[in-house]
Amino acid sequence: MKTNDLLNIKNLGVWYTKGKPVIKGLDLDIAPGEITGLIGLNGAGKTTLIKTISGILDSFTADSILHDGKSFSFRDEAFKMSRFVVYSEDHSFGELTFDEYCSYVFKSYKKPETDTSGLVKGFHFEEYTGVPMKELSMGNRKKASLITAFALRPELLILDEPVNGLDFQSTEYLYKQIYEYRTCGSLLFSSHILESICLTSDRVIVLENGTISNTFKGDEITPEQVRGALNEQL
Amino acid sequence: MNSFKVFTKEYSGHDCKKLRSGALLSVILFCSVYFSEIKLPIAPKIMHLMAFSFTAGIMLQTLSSNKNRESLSEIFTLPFSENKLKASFITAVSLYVALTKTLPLLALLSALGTPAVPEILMCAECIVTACLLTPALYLTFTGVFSDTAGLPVPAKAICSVLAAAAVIYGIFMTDDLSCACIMAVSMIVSAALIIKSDIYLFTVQSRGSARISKKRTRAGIMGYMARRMKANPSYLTNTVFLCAFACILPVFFRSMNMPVSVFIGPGILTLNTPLCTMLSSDPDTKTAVRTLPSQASGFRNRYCIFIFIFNLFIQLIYLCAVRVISGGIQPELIAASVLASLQGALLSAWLEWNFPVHGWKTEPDLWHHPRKYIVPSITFILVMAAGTVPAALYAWSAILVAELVIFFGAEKMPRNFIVKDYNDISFKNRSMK
Repeated sequence: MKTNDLLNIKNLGVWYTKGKPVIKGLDLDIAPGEITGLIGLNGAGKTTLIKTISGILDSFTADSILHDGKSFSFRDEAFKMSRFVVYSEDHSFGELTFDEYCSYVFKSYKKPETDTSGLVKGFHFEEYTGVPMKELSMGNRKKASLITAFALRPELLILDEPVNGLDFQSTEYLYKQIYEYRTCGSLLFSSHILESICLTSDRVIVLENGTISNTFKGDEITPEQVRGALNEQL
Repeated sequence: MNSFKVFTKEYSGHDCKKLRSGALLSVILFCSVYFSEIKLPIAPKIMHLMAFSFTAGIMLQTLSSNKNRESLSEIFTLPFSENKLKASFITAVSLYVALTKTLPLLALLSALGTPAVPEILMCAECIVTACLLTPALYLTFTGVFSDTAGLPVPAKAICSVLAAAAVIYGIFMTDDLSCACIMAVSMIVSAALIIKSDIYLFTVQSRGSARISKKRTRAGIMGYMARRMKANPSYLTNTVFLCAFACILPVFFRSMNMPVSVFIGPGILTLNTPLCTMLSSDPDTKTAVRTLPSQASGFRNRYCIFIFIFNLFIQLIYLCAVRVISGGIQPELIAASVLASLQGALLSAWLEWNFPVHGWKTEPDLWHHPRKYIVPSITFILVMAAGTVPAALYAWSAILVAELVIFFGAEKMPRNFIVKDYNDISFKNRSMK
């Protein structure tokens, strides 16, 4: 089966305990250059979906998983090279400074290092580039991961709750970065913040108990519509 | 739920599962060794010292564990009475340490040496003393050195050190009755020190001076690991102890009067637990390494080289000690030491990469995981084989070359599964902890 989608997943089921699926019968497709927002109540399966796509979870079934129309495993090196994930909370490589971490990520992706000064300035991170990441606050740690992600510019960028912990200025800058990402790749992100989803996304997926309850595209993406879909779940 | 139940659940698991497992393990160990009629006379003072120092060591590891500090910070914000909270916390940690760590060791020693009832009671007192004295010392010295506690009380430090010194003196230099009295006094002093200390000192982390790099620096996984070792005193302490152990081992082997006994050293010196659990001990970095591409070469292989360097350094100390104590050294021992270093590093990195330890609550849980004995056991068997049959050394070298080719040649994720056809739903249940 060939599709034009960058990522196409059919009938995904994910569980932590067998017999208790967290995600069930989920179909997901992400087009090239598309910004997809995931929204849902706590426990809807947003982070589980992101962890599955990242290759962290392997307790899942799927009818088909296609990347550029070809079957693949979420743990394939080729797929890994094409995507980068920013987790909601990340304390990895705490002994490295941001500069070192960024350099290590670029080296892992076998890409030449790019100038991050614009992003560093945009996220107001200038003072912290030489500080070990274990010394950074949650917000600054998140900024370090986001700067690395946007500097790396992978084909598919996956962000789990990127707004959490960011201050007002950095949040505004993040929205701009997400919105503009369509020029260099696709972006899938989860959020609890309605504004972040409505301001940036080409498509909004509303998750409910591990399945997609609503999808909004283009002009349908309004705070009222999405709020209505979320309220139906209550 | 009261605070004691909260802490017991935190350290000993749901329904005190770990306590019951520890007690059961002790019974099994005792029965199996006792009925096998293997006897090894152990001096009572050695048993007392082991009970005291082992319990104190594990208590210290548990109290200074980073994960312990994180969970305590949350619990301590609840409006419990401070002294009740201290009592609950110390009792819960003591039960966890005594029943899951010290009791199996004591069961083994008791089965080997069959000590009399007063000696066992004395061991129990040693354990209780260690459980009280260690938190007292920990609180006092965290208070002295911490910049947040504001409790630089030299008198407290002197009291706690004197209490510890008195216990050591009592164990070695006095009879059982005097020792019991000294330990009772030490327990009272420890309890007083604990009561007079701020409970939040249990959550204080020594920060040191933040290293801020002015110039843009490049990443290096070896440098990262070296920094982690530097930042975690337990990692360095364990390595220093292993070096000291390497220095005194040849003395024991010399007294055994068996030429092959000197080969035991390289086998057991690969047991550097914190160093071999660097990925398991840092779950977020473990996730990052699983997520990033090219990590087999970027992380795993460098990790293997890092362990090899440390193994080799410790083996070198051992070889020097053998040379000094025995006056000579066999070329086979040198070769076996190098091979054991490499074999230990390869196996440790492979185990950590493919089978990291999940679900641990405190660092001592991780460091006392049974997995730690796999690598030294294998290297021990191989080294002993090489020491007994010289030809085994050549066979081992050939196997190691093959292992190296496979290990450094494989660039894929751990527990990867290649699925050719997704239509047959090939992903089966793989539980993630």
